[in-house]
Amino acid sequence: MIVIEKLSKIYDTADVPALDNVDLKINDGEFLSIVGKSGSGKSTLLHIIGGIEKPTSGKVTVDEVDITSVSDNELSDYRSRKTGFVFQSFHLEPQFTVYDNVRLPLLINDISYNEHKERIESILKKVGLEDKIKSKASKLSGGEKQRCAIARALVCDPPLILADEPCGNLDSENSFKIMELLKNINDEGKGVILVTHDKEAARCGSRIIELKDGRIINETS
Amino acid sequence: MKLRDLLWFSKKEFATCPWLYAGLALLLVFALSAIGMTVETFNRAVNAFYDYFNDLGKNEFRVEINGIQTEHKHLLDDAGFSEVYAEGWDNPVLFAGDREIDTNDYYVELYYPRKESDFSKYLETGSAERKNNVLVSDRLVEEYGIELGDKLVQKVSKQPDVVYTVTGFFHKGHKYYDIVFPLETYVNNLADRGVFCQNYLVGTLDDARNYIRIRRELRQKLIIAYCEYDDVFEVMAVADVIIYALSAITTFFGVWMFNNALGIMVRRRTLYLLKLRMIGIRTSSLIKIFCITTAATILLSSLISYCVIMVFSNYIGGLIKEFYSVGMNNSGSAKSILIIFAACIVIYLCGVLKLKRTIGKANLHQELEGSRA
Repeated sequence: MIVIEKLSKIYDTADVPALDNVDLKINDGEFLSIVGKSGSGKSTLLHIIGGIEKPTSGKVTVDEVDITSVSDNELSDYRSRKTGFVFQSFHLEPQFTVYDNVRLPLLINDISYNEHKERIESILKKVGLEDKIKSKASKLSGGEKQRCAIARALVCDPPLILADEPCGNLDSENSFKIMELLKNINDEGKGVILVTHDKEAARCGSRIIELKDGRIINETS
Repeated sequence: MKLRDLLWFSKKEFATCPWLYAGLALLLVFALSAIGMTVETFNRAVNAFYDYFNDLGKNEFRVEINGIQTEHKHLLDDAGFSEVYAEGWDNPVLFAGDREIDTNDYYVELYYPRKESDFSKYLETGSAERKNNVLVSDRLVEEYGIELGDKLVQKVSKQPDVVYTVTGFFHKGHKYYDIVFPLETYVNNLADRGVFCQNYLVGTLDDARNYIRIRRELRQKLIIAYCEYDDVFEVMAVADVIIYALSAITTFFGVWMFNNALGIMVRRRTLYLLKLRMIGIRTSSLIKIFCITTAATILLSSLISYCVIMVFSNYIGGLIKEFYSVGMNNSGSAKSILIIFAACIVIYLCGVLKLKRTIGKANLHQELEGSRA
Protein backbone atom coordinates (compact mmCIF):
# COMPACT_ATOMS: atom_id res chain seq x y z
CA MET A 1 0.00 0.00 0.00
CA ILE A 2 1.13 3.53 -0.80
CA VAL A 3 0.20 6.23 1.70
CA ILE A 4 0.75 9.86 0.74
CA GLU A 5 0.48 12.42 3.53
CA LYS A 6 0.50 16.20 3.20
CA LEU A 7 2.68 16.02 0.11
CA SER A 8 3.87 19.36 -1.26
CA LYS A 9 6.31 20.29 -3.95
CA ILE A 10 7.45 23.79 -4.75
CA TYR A 11 9.94 24.32 -7.55
CA ASP A 12 12.47 27.11 -7.25
CA THR A 13 11.41 28.48 -10.60
CA ALA A 14 7.66 28.57 -9.90
CA ASP A 15 5.60 30.82 -7.67
CA VAL A 16 2.75 28.38 -7.13
CA PRO A 17 3.26 24.90 -5.66
CA ALA A 18 3.22 21.97 -8.08
CA LEU A 19 1.66 19.88 -5.31
CA ASP A 20 -0.15 21.36 -2.34
CA ASN A 21 -0.84 19.19 0.73
CA VAL A 22 -1.91 16.10 -1.17
CA ASP A 23 -3.25 13.16 0.86
CA LEU A 24 -3.86 9.90 -0.93
CA LYS A 25 -3.95 6.16 -0.34
CA ILE A 26 -3.31 3.68 -3.14
CA ASN A 27 -4.08 0.03 -2.52
CA ASP A 28 -1.95 -2.85 -3.74
CA GLY A 29 -3.01 -3.96 -7.20
CA GLU A 30 -5.14 -0.88 -7.79
CA PHE A 31 -5.44 0.81 -11.19
CA LEU A 32 -5.39 4.51 -10.39
CA SER A 33 -5.79 7.15 -13.05
CA ILE A 34 -4.62 10.68 -12.38
CA VAL A 35 -6.05 13.31 -14.66
CA GLY A 36 -5.70 17.03 -14.88
CA LYS A 37 -4.63 19.82 -17.16
CA SER A 38 -1.07 20.55 -18.07
CA GLY A 39 0.80 21.92 -15.04
CA SER A 40 -1.72 20.53 -12.56
CA GLY A 41 0.99 18.50 -10.82
CA LYS A 42 0.03 15.00 -11.95
CA SER A 43 3.45 14.09 -13.40
CA THR A 44 5.17 15.52 -10.33
CA LEU A 45 3.01 13.32 -8.12
CA LEU A 46 3.87 10.27 -10.24
CA HIS A 47 7.58 11.06 -10.17
CA ILE A 48 7.55 11.46 -6.40
CA ILE A 49 5.73 8.13 -6.01
CA GLY A 50 8.32 6.59 -8.35
CA GLY A 51 11.24 8.02 -6.39
CA ILE A 52 12.68 10.16 -9.16
CA GLU A 53 11.73 13.41 -7.49
CA LYS A 54 11.91 14.54 -3.88
CA PRO A 55 9.01 16.45 -2.32
CA THR A 56 9.43 19.76 -0.53
CA SER A 57 7.43 18.39 2.39
CA GLY A 58 5.21 15.46 3.27
CA LYS A 59 5.64 11.71 3.24
CA VAL A 60 5.22 8.90 0.76
CA THR A 61 5.12 5.54 2.52
CA VAL A 62 5.44 2.46 0.34
CA ASP A 63 4.97 -0.82 2.23
CA GLU A 64 5.67 1.06 5.45
CA VAL A 65 8.91 2.62 4.19
CA ASP A 66 9.04 6.40 3.81
CA ILE A 67 10.72 6.77 0.43
CA THR A 68 11.17 10.53 0.86
CA SER A 69 13.73 10.04 3.61
CA VAL A 70 15.79 7.12 2.26
CA SER A 71 19.29 7.40 0.76
CA ASP A 72 19.96 7.75 -2.95
CA ASN A 73 21.05 4.10 -3.17
CA GLU A 74 17.93 2.88 -1.39
CA LEU A 75 15.82 4.99 -3.71
CA SER A 76 17.59 3.44 -6.72
CA ASP A 77 16.88 -0.03 -5.31
CA TYR A 78 13.25 0.95 -4.78
CA ARG A 79 12.96 2.07 -8.40
CA SER A 80 14.60 -1.06 -9.74
CA ARG A 81 12.70 -3.60 -7.63
CA LYS A 82 9.31 -2.09 -6.89
CA THR A 83 8.47 0.07 -9.88
CA GLY A 84 8.41 -0.02 -13.64
CA PHE A 85 8.18 3.24 -15.59
CA VAL A 86 6.42 3.83 -18.88
CA PHE A 87 6.76 7.28 -20.43
CA GLN A 88 5.21 9.21 -23.28
CA SER A 89 8.63 9.51 -24.96
CA PHE A 90 9.32 5.76 -24.44
CA HIS A 91 12.89 6.47 -23.26
CA LEU A 92 14.34 3.48 -25.04
CA GLU A 93 17.98 3.48 -26.05
CA PRO A 94 17.65 3.81 -29.84
CA GLN A 95 21.01 2.16 -30.65
CA PHE A 96 20.21 -0.92 -28.56
CA THR A 97 18.17 -3.83 -29.83
CA VAL A 98 14.78 -4.60 -28.30
CA TYR A 99 16.46 -7.48 -26.46
CA ASP A 100 19.12 -5.23 -24.93
CA ASN A 101 16.62 -2.53 -23.98
CA VAL A 102 14.49 -5.04 -22.11
CA ARG A 103 17.61 -6.58 -20.60
CA LEU A 104 18.76 -3.40 -18.85
CA PRO A 105 16.66 -3.82 -15.66
CA LEU A 106 17.77 -7.47 -15.38
CA LEU A 107 21.42 -6.39 -15.38
CA ILE A 108 20.79 -3.62 -12.88
CA ASN A 109 18.94 -6.03 -10.58
CA ASP A 110 21.73 -8.63 -10.76
CA ILE A 111 19.39 -11.27 -12.18
CA SER A 112 21.31 -14.38 -13.22
CA TYR A 113 22.38 -14.39 -16.88
CA ASN A 114 20.77 -17.82 -17.30
CA GLU A 115 17.35 -16.31 -16.73
CA HIS A 116 17.73 -13.34 -19.07
CA LYS A 117 16.82 -14.98 -22.38
CA GLU A 118 13.82 -16.83 -21.01
CA ARG A 119 12.44 -13.80 -19.19
CA ILE A 120 12.93 -11.45 -22.13
CA GLU A 121 11.38 -13.81 -24.66
CA SER A 122 8.45 -14.43 -22.38
CA ILE A 123 7.75 -10.75 -21.74
CA LEU A 124 8.17 -9.80 -25.41
CA LYS A 125 5.67 -12.51 -26.33
CA LYS A 126 3.28 -11.00 -23.81
CA VAL A 127 3.49 -7.54 -25.40
CA GLY A 128 3.50 -8.95 -28.94
CA LEU A 129 7.06 -8.07 -29.88
CA GLU A 130 8.59 -11.55 -30.05
CA ASP A 131 9.41 -11.13 -33.75
CA LYS A 132 11.23 -7.81 -33.13
CA ILE A 133 13.68 -9.15 -30.56
CA LYS A 134 16.75 -8.37 -32.69
CA SER A 135 15.47 -5.10 -34.13
CA LYS A 136 17.02 -1.84 -33.09
CA ALA A 137 14.71 0.31 -30.98
CA SER A 138 15.10 3.17 -33.45
CA LYS A 139 13.55 1.01 -36.18
CA LEU A 140 10.32 0.34 -34.27
CA SER A 141 7.01 2.14 -34.80
CA GLY A 142 5.56 4.30 -32.00
CA GLY A 143 3.25 1.57 -30.73
CA GLU A 144 6.04 -0.99 -30.81
CA LYS A 145 8.34 1.34 -28.92
CA GLN A 146 5.77 1.79 -26.20
CA ARG A 147 5.21 -1.96 -25.97
CA CYS A 148 8.96 -2.42 -25.73
CA ALA A 149 9.01 0.17 -22.92
CA ILE A 150 6.22 -1.73 -21.14
CA ALA A 151 8.18 -4.98 -21.55
CA ARG A 152 11.18 -3.29 -19.99
CA ALA A 153 9.03 -2.04 -17.11
CA LEU A 154 7.63 -5.54 -16.53
CA VAL A 155 10.67 -7.73 -17.00
CA CYS A 156 11.76 -7.62 -13.34
CA ASP A 157 8.20 -8.29 -12.24
CA PRO A 158 7.71 -5.13 -10.12
CA PRO A 159 4.45 -4.80 -8.16
CA LEU A 160 3.80 -1.26 -9.44
CA ILE A 161 3.73 0.19 -12.97
CA LEU A 162 3.90 3.96 -13.33
CA ALA A 163 2.72 5.22 -16.68
CA ASP A 164 3.16 8.89 -17.56
CA GLU A 165 1.04 9.75 -20.62
CA PRO A 166 1.85 6.40 -22.26
CA CYS A 167 -0.44 7.13 -25.22
CA GLY A 168 0.59 10.75 -25.68
CA ASN A 169 2.61 10.02 -28.83
CA LEU A 170 0.41 7.28 -30.26
CA ASP A 171 -2.52 7.09 -32.68
CA SER A 172 -5.89 5.89 -31.41
CA GLU A 173 -5.38 2.30 -32.53
CA ASN A 174 -2.06 1.98 -30.76
CA SER A 175 -3.40 3.87 -27.74
CA PHE A 176 -6.18 1.34 -27.46
CA LYS A 177 -3.68 -1.55 -27.59
CA ILE A 178 -1.50 0.01 -24.91
CA MET A 179 -4.43 0.63 -22.61
CA GLU A 180 -5.54 -2.98 -23.12
CA LEU A 181 -2.06 -4.07 -22.19
CA LEU A 182 -2.08 -1.97 -19.02
CA LYS A 183 -5.48 -3.38 -18.08
CA ASN A 184 -4.17 -6.92 -18.57
CA ILE A 185 -1.17 -6.10 -16.38
CA ASN A 186 -3.52 -4.83 -13.69
CA ASP A 187 -5.68 -7.94 -14.04
CA GLU A 188 -2.58 -10.00 -13.21
CA GLY A 189 -2.45 -8.24 -9.85
CA LYS A 190 0.03 -5.46 -10.46
CA GLY A 191 -0.77 -1.93 -9.40
CA VAL A 192 -0.92 0.64 -12.19
CA ILE A 193 -0.81 4.39 -11.77
CA LEU A 194 -1.68 6.13 -15.00
CA VAL A 195 -1.17 9.82 -15.56
CA THR A 196 -3.14 11.12 -18.50
CA HIS A 197 -5.05 14.12 -19.72
CA ASP A 198 -7.27 11.83 -21.77
CA LYS A 199 -10.43 11.19 -19.74
CA GLU A 200 -11.39 8.28 -22.00
CA ALA A 201 -8.11 6.49 -21.22
CA ALA A 202 -8.49 7.34 -17.55
CA ARG A 203 -11.69 5.31 -17.39
CA CYS A 204 -9.57 2.15 -17.57
CA GLY A 205 -8.68 2.85 -13.94
CA SER A 206 -10.72 1.54 -11.05
CA ARG A 207 -10.38 4.98 -9.46
CA ILE A 208 -9.81 8.37 -11.02
CA ILE A 209 -8.47 11.42 -9.23
CA GLU A 210 -8.36 14.84 -10.75
CA LEU A 211 -5.68 17.38 -9.89
CA LYS A 212 -5.84 21.12 -10.26
CA ASP A 213 -3.14 23.52 -9.11
CA GLY A 214 -1.51 20.75 -7.12
CA ARG A 215 -4.64 19.74 -5.21
CA ILE A 216 -7.01 16.81 -5.60
CA ILE A 217 -10.30 18.36 -6.63
CA ASN A 218 -12.24 15.29 -7.60
CA GLU A 219 -12.15 11.55 -6.95
CA THR A 220 -14.39 8.99 -8.63
CA SER A 221 -14.47 5.22 -8.43
CA MET B 1 26.45 -4.23 -9.81
CA LYS B 2 28.89 -6.93 -10.89
CA LEU B 3 32.02 -6.09 -12.87
CA ARG B 4 30.78 -8.22 -15.77
CA ASP B 5 27.62 -6.11 -15.97
CA LEU B 6 29.59 -2.87 -15.67
CA LEU B 7 31.77 -4.01 -18.57
CA TRP B 8 28.64 -4.85 -20.57
CA PHE B 9 27.33 -1.34 -20.03
CA SER B 10 30.72 0.15 -20.87
CA LYS B 11 30.90 -1.83 -24.09
CA LYS B 12 27.42 -0.67 -25.02
CA GLU B 13 28.43 2.88 -24.18
CA PHE B 14 31.27 2.72 -26.73
CA ALA B 15 29.00 1.09 -29.31
CA THR B 16 26.26 3.67 -28.79
CA CYS B 17 28.34 6.80 -29.28
CA PRO B 18 31.66 5.84 -30.86
CA TRP B 19 32.24 9.30 -32.32
CA LEU B 20 31.88 10.96 -28.95
CA TYR B 21 34.59 8.74 -27.51
CA ALA B 22 36.71 9.06 -30.65
CA GLY B 23 36.53 12.85 -30.20
CA LEU B 24 37.46 12.53 -26.56
CA ALA B 25 40.37 10.23 -27.44
CA LEU B 26 41.53 12.69 -30.10
CA LEU B 27 41.56 15.55 -27.60
CA LEU B 28 43.50 13.40 -25.17
CA VAL B 29 46.01 12.40 -27.83
CA PHE B 30 46.43 16.09 -28.54
CA ALA B 31 46.95 16.94 -24.86
CA LEU B 32 49.23 14.01 -24.03
CA SER B 33 51.26 14.41 -27.21
CA ALA B 34 51.72 18.09 -26.39
CA ILE B 35 53.01 17.15 -22.94
CA GLY B 36 55.21 14.38 -24.29
CA MET B 37 56.61 16.41 -27.16
CA THR B 38 57.43 19.33 -24.88
CA VAL B 39 59.25 17.08 -22.45
CA GLU B 40 60.94 15.09 -25.16
CA THR B 41 62.15 18.15 -27.07
CA PHE B 42 63.74 19.55 -23.92
CA ASN B 43 65.15 16.17 -22.99
CA ARG B 44 66.66 15.69 -26.40
CA ALA B 45 68.19 19.16 -26.35
CA VAL B 46 69.63 18.69 -22.85
CA ASN B 47 70.90 15.21 -23.69
CA ALA B 48 72.51 16.54 -26.84
CA PHE B 49 74.36 19.04 -24.70
CA TYR B 50 75.62 16.40 -22.27
CA ASP B 51 76.50 14.01 -25.06
CA TYR B 52 78.45 16.81 -26.69
CA PHE B 53 80.40 17.27 -23.45
CA ASN B 54 80.94 13.55 -23.03
CA ASP B 55 82.12 13.27 -26.62
CA LEU B 56 84.67 16.03 -26.02
CA GLY B 57 86.35 13.82 -23.46
CA LYS B 58 85.98 13.09 -19.79
CA ASN B 59 84.74 16.16 -18.11
CA GLU B 60 87.11 17.40 -15.48
CA PHE B 61 85.40 18.07 -12.24
CA ARG B 62 87.51 19.90 -9.68
CA VAL B 63 86.90 19.57 -5.99
CA GLU B 64 88.88 22.10 -4.03
CA ILE B 65 89.88 20.89 -0.58
CA ASN B 66 92.26 22.79 1.68
CA GLY B 67 94.54 20.09 2.96
CA ILE B 68 93.61 16.65 1.79
CA GLN B 69 92.35 14.50 4.62
CA THR B 70 91.69 10.80 4.65
CA GLU B 71 87.98 11.27 5.29
CA HIS B 72 87.65 13.21 2.05
CA LYS B 73 88.17 10.05 0.14
CA HIS B 74 84.89 8.72 1.53
CA LEU B 75 83.12 11.84 0.38
CA LEU B 76 84.51 11.34 -3.07
CA ASP B 77 83.63 7.66 -2.96
CA ASP B 78 80.03 8.59 -2.26
CA ALA B 79 79.99 11.20 -4.99
CA GLY B 80 80.72 8.58 -7.62
CA PHE B 81 83.81 9.78 -9.48
CA SER B 82 85.35 7.43 -11.96
CA GLU B 83 88.90 8.68 -11.28
CA VAL B 84 90.48 10.87 -8.61
CA TYR B 85 93.99 12.34 -8.51
CA ALA B 86 95.71 15.31 -6.92
CA GLU B 87 96.91 18.52 -8.46
CA GLY B 88 98.55 21.76 -7.41
CA TRP B 89 100.84 20.48 -4.70
CA ASP B 90 104.51 21.27 -4.02
CA ASN B 91 107.15 18.97 -5.41
CA PRO B 92 108.38 16.58 -2.69
CA VAL B 93 112.04 16.17 -1.78
CA LEU B 94 112.87 12.58 -2.71
CA PHE B 95 115.99 10.47 -2.42
CA ALA B 96 116.86 7.23 -4.18
CA GLY B 97 119.62 5.90 -1.99
CA ASP B 98 121.80 8.93 -1.36
CA ARG B 99 120.90 10.71 -4.63
CA GLU B 100 118.20 13.34 -4.63
CA ILE B 101 115.67 12.97 -7.42
CA ASP B 102 115.12 16.13 -9.37
CA THR B 103 111.34 16.37 -9.12
CA ASN B 104 111.38 19.38 -11.45
CA ASP B 105 112.43 16.96 -14.15
CA TYR B 106 110.88 13.73 -12.89
CA TYR B 107 107.28 14.52 -12.13
CA VAL B 108 105.25 12.87 -9.43
CA GLU B 109 101.67 11.65 -9.76
CA LEU B 110 99.45 11.17 -6.71
CA TYR B 111 96.80 8.75 -7.70
CA TYR B 112 93.79 7.63 -5.74
CA PRO B 113 92.85 4.17 -6.98
CA ARG B 114 89.14 3.38 -6.79
CA LYS B 115 90.10 -0.25 -6.79
CA GLU B 116 93.31 -2.26 -7.01
CA SER B 117 93.01 -2.78 -10.75
CA ASP B 118 92.90 1.01 -11.27
CA PHE B 119 96.30 1.37 -9.69
CA SER B 120 97.65 -1.52 -11.69
CA LYS B 121 97.09 0.42 -14.88
CA TYR B 122 100.35 2.23 -14.10
CA LEU B 123 102.13 -1.03 -13.72
CA GLU B 124 104.18 -3.17 -16.05
CA THR B 125 106.45 -5.01 -13.65
CA GLY B 126 105.96 -5.81 -9.98
CA SER B 127 102.87 -5.39 -7.81
CA ALA B 128 100.73 -2.48 -6.73
CA GLU B 129 100.25 -2.87 -3.02
CA ARG B 130 98.67 0.18 -1.54
CA LYS B 131 100.62 0.51 1.66
CA ASN B 132 103.75 2.73 1.34
CA ASN B 133 104.55 1.58 -2.15
CA VAL B 134 105.76 3.61 -5.08
CA LEU B 135 105.87 2.89 -8.78
CA VAL B 136 108.59 4.34 -10.97
CA SER B 137 109.12 4.69 -14.71
CA ASP B 138 111.74 2.86 -16.74
CA ARG B 139 113.37 6.28 -17.39
CA LEU B 140 113.91 6.82 -13.67
CA VAL B 141 115.08 3.25 -13.24
CA GLU B 142 117.69 3.75 -15.93
CA GLU B 143 118.86 7.09 -14.53
CA TYR B 144 119.09 6.08 -10.86
CA GLY B 145 119.63 2.32 -11.17
CA ILE B 146 116.56 1.52 -9.09
CA GLU B 147 115.53 -2.10 -8.53
CA LEU B 148 112.36 -3.68 -7.14
CA GLY B 149 112.41 -3.48 -3.33
CA ASP B 150 114.60 -0.37 -3.28
CA LYS B 151 113.53 2.49 -1.04
CA LEU B 152 112.61 6.05 -1.97
CA VAL B 153 112.89 8.42 0.95
CA GLN B 154 110.82 11.58 1.25
CA LYS B 155 112.33 14.31 3.38
CA VAL B 156 109.81 16.42 5.24
CA SER B 157 110.21 19.21 7.79
CA LYS B 158 109.40 16.86 10.65
CA GLN B 159 111.06 13.53 11.42
CA PRO B 160 111.06 10.72 10.76
CA ASP B 161 111.43 10.65 6.95
CA VAL B 162 108.81 8.84 4.97
CA VAL B 163 110.10 5.66 3.37
CA TYR B 164 108.45 4.10 0.33
CA THR B 165 109.30 0.75 -1.26
CA VAL B 166 109.55 0.50 -5.04
CA THR B 167 107.09 -2.27 -5.87
CA GLY B 168 106.70 -1.82 -9.60
CA PHE B 169 107.87 -0.24 -12.84
CA PHE B 170 105.99 1.25 -15.75
CA HIS B 171 106.95 2.35 -19.23
CA LYS B 172 107.38 6.13 -19.43
CA GLY B 173 106.17 6.48 -23.03
CA HIS B 174 104.33 9.79 -23.36
CA LYS B 175 103.41 9.99 -19.70
CA TYR B 176 104.36 13.24 -18.04
CA TYR B 177 105.14 11.63 -14.70
CA ASP B 178 107.86 9.20 -13.54
CA ILE B 179 106.80 8.48 -9.97
CA VAL B 180 103.35 7.34 -8.80
CA PHE B 181 102.34 7.43 -5.15
CA PRO B 182 99.06 6.15 -3.82
CA LEU B 183 97.36 9.38 -2.80
CA GLU B 184 95.86 8.11 0.43
CA THR B 185 99.15 6.74 1.78
CA TYR B 186 101.03 9.82 0.71
CA VAL B 187 98.62 12.23 2.36
CA ASN B 188 98.35 10.15 5.52
CA ASN B 189 102.10 9.93 5.87
CA LEU B 190 102.35 13.71 5.69
CA ALA B 191 99.41 14.20 8.03
CA ASP B 192 101.07 11.86 10.58
CA ARG B 193 103.98 14.28 10.63
CA GLY B 194 101.76 17.34 10.96
CA VAL B 195 102.31 18.40 7.36
CA PHE B 196 99.20 19.37 5.43
CA CYS B 197 99.02 19.64 1.68
CA GLN B 198 97.57 22.82 0.23
CA ASN B 199 96.20 21.31 -2.96
CA TYR B 200 93.08 19.99 -4.51
CA LEU B 201 91.67 16.81 -5.85
CA VAL B 202 90.55 16.40 -9.40
CA GLY B 203 87.89 13.88 -10.12
CA THR B 204 86.71 12.85 -13.55
CA LEU B 205 83.18 11.90 -14.42
CA ASP B 206 82.15 9.37 -17.04
CA ASP B 207 78.90 11.18 -17.63
CA ALA B 208 78.49 14.95 -17.43
CA ARG B 209 74.82 14.41 -16.46
CA ASN B 210 75.99 13.57 -12.94
CA TYR B 211 77.78 16.88 -12.44
CA ILE B 212 74.94 18.90 -10.88
CA ARG B 213 73.95 16.06 -8.55
CA ILE B 214 77.53 15.48 -7.38
CA ARG B 215 78.16 19.17 -6.89
CA ARG B 216 74.97 19.43 -4.81
CA GLU B 217 75.96 16.42 -2.69
CA LEU B 218 79.43 17.80 -2.05
CA ARG B 219 78.09 21.24 -1.20
CA GLN B 220 75.87 19.62 1.39
CA LYS B 221 79.14 18.38 2.91
CA LEU B 222 80.58 21.91 2.71
CA ILE B 223 83.04 21.02 -0.04
CA ILE B 224 83.29 23.53 -2.84
CA ALA B 225 83.18 21.93 -6.24
CA TYR B 226 83.46 23.67 -9.54
CA CYS B 227 84.23 23.01 -13.16
CA GLU B 228 85.11 25.14 -16.13
CA TYR B 229 81.56 25.04 -17.55
CA ASP B 230 79.75 25.74 -14.30
CA ASP B 231 77.52 28.47 -15.80
CA VAL B 232 76.42 26.25 -18.65
CA PHE B 233 75.60 23.42 -16.25
CA GLU B 234 73.54 25.89 -14.20
CA VAL B 235 71.45 26.60 -17.28
CA MET B 236 71.06 22.89 -17.87
CA ALA B 237 69.82 22.47 -14.30
CA VAL B 238 67.25 25.19 -14.94
CA ALA B 239 66.19 23.35 -18.10
CA ASP B 240 65.15 20.44 -15.90
CA VAL B 241 62.94 22.73 -13.85
CA ILE B 242 61.50 24.19 -17.06
CA ILE B 243 60.64 20.68 -18.26
CA TYR B 244 58.63 19.97 -15.12
CA ALA B 245 57.01 23.41 -15.15
CA LEU B 246 55.98 23.06 -18.79
CA SER B 247 54.71 19.54 -18.11
CA ALA B 248 52.63 20.82 -15.22
CA ILE B 249 51.21 23.69 -17.31
CA THR B 250 50.42 21.39 -20.22
CA THR B 251 48.87 18.85 -17.85
CA PHE B 252 46.74 21.62 -16.38
CA PHE B 253 45.47 22.52 -19.86
CA GLY B 254 44.98 18.81 -20.55
CA VAL B 255 42.84 18.49 -17.43
CA TRP B 256 40.87 21.60 -18.38
CA MET B 257 40.29 20.37 -21.92
CA PHE B 258 39.45 16.82 -20.88
CA ASN B 259 37.08 17.96 -18.15
CA ASN B 260 35.24 20.25 -20.53
CA ALA B 261 35.01 17.49 -23.11
CA LEU B 262 33.82 15.08 -20.45
CA GLY B 263 31.22 17.59 -19.26
CA ILE B 264 29.92 18.00 -22.81
CA MET B 265 29.90 14.24 -23.29
CA VAL B 266 28.01 13.57 -20.07
CA ARG B 267 25.51 16.32 -20.91
CA ARG B 268 24.98 14.76 -24.32
CA ARG B 269 24.41 11.45 -22.61
CA THR B 270 22.10 12.88 -19.96
CA LEU B 271 19.02 11.25 -21.42
CA TYR B 272 20.74 7.87 -21.44
CA LEU B 273 21.84 8.39 -17.83
CA LEU B 274 18.30 9.40 -16.99
CA LYS B 275 16.91 6.22 -18.51
CA LEU B 276 19.29 4.08 -16.51
CA ARG B 277 18.58 6.03 -13.31
CA MET B 278 14.88 5.64 -13.96
CA ILE B 279 15.30 1.88 -14.28
CA GLY B 280 17.07 1.93 -10.94
CA ILE B 281 20.81 1.98 -11.57
CA ARG B 282 22.78 3.47 -8.69
CA THR B 283 24.73 6.69 -9.19
CA SER B 284 27.90 4.90 -8.10
CA SER B 285 27.39 2.26 -10.81
CA LEU B 286 26.87 4.97 -13.42
CA ILE B 287 30.09 6.66 -12.35
CA LYS B 288 31.89 3.31 -12.50
CA ILE B 289 30.66 2.75 -16.06
CA PHE B 290 31.98 6.14 -17.14
CA CYS B 291 35.20 5.54 -15.22
CA ILE B 292 35.74 2.34 -17.19
CA THR B 293 34.98 3.99 -20.53
CA THR B 294 37.18 7.02 -19.80
CA ALA B 295 39.98 4.80 -18.47
CA ALA B 296 39.88 2.75 -21.66
CA THR B 297 39.85 5.97 -23.71
CA ILE B 298 42.82 7.35 -21.78
CA LEU B 299 44.72 4.07 -22.16
CA LEU B 300 44.18 4.01 -25.90
CA SER B 301 45.00 7.71 -26.21
CA SER B 302 48.20 7.36 -24.22
CA LEU B 303 49.34 4.48 -26.44
CA ILE B 304 48.67 6.52 -29.57
CA SER B 305 50.33 9.55 -27.95
CA TYR B 306 53.37 7.43 -27.10
CA CYS B 307 53.75 6.43 -30.76
CA VAL B 308 53.31 10.05 -31.87
CA ILE B 309 55.92 11.21 -29.34
CA MET B 310 58.40 8.52 -30.34
CA VAL B 311 58.10 9.43 -34.02
CA PHE B 312 58.44 13.10 -33.15
CA SER B 313 61.37 12.65 -30.78
CA ASN B 314 63.23 10.48 -33.28
CA TYR B 315 62.76 13.24 -35.82
CA ILE B 316 64.04 15.84 -33.33
CA GLY B 317 66.91 13.48 -32.42
CA GLY B 318 67.80 13.21 -36.09
CA LEU B 319 67.84 17.00 -36.48
CA ILE B 320 70.06 17.44 -33.42
CA LYS B 321 72.40 14.72 -34.61
CA GLU B 322 72.61 16.40 -37.98
CA PHE B 323 73.36 19.85 -36.52
CA TYR B 324 75.63 18.91 -33.64
CA SER B 325 77.04 15.58 -34.84
CA VAL B 326 76.48 13.90 -31.48
CA GLY B 327 75.04 10.49 -30.79
CA MET B 328 71.71 10.48 -28.97
CA ASN B 329 70.84 8.33 -26.02
CA ASN B 330 67.29 7.53 -24.94
CA SER B 331 67.52 8.40 -21.25
CA GLY B 332 65.02 11.20 -21.84
CA SER B 333 62.29 8.85 -23.06
CA ALA B 334 61.91 7.21 -19.67
CA LYS B 335 61.28 10.65 -18.19
CA SER B 336 58.71 11.42 -20.92
CA ILE B 337 56.89 8.16 -20.24
CA LEU B 338 56.82 8.86 -16.51
CA ILE B 339 55.54 12.38 -17.04
CA ILE B 340 52.86 11.21 -19.49
CA PHE B 341 51.86 8.49 -17.03
CA ALA B 342 51.61 11.05 -14.23
CA ALA B 343 49.65 13.40 -16.52
CA CYS B 344 47.26 10.54 -17.41
CA ILE B 345 46.64 9.83 -13.74
CA VAL B 346 46.03 13.51 -12.97
CA ILE B 347 43.73 13.95 -15.98
CA TYR B 348 41.87 10.76 -15.13
CA LEU B 349 41.38 11.58 -11.44
CA CYS B 350 40.16 15.07 -12.28
CA GLY B 351 37.87 13.49 -14.89
CA VAL B 352 36.43 11.11 -12.29
CA LEU B 353 35.71 14.03 -9.96
CA LYS B 354 34.03 15.86 -12.82
CA LEU B 355 31.92 12.78 -13.63
CA LYS B 356 30.92 12.41 -10.02
CA ARG B 357 29.85 16.03 -9.87
CA THR B 358 28.02 16.06 -13.21
CA ILE B 359 26.23 12.75 -12.80
CA GLY B 360 25.51 13.32 -9.12
CA LYS B 361 23.71 16.59 -9.69
CA ALA B 362 21.60 15.44 -12.68
CA ASN B 363 17.95 16.13 -11.92
CA LEU B 364 15.83 13.25 -13.17
CA HIS B 365 12.51 14.99 -13.01
CA GLN B 366 13.78 18.09 -14.78
CA GLU B 367 15.36 15.98 -17.51
CA LEU B 368 12.16 14.00 -17.94
CA GLU B 369 10.10 17.16 -18.28
CA GLY B 370 12.70 18.54 -20.68
CA SER B 371 12.70 15.40 -22.81
CA ARG B 372 8.91 15.52 -23.04
CA ALA B 373 9.07 19.14 -24.16
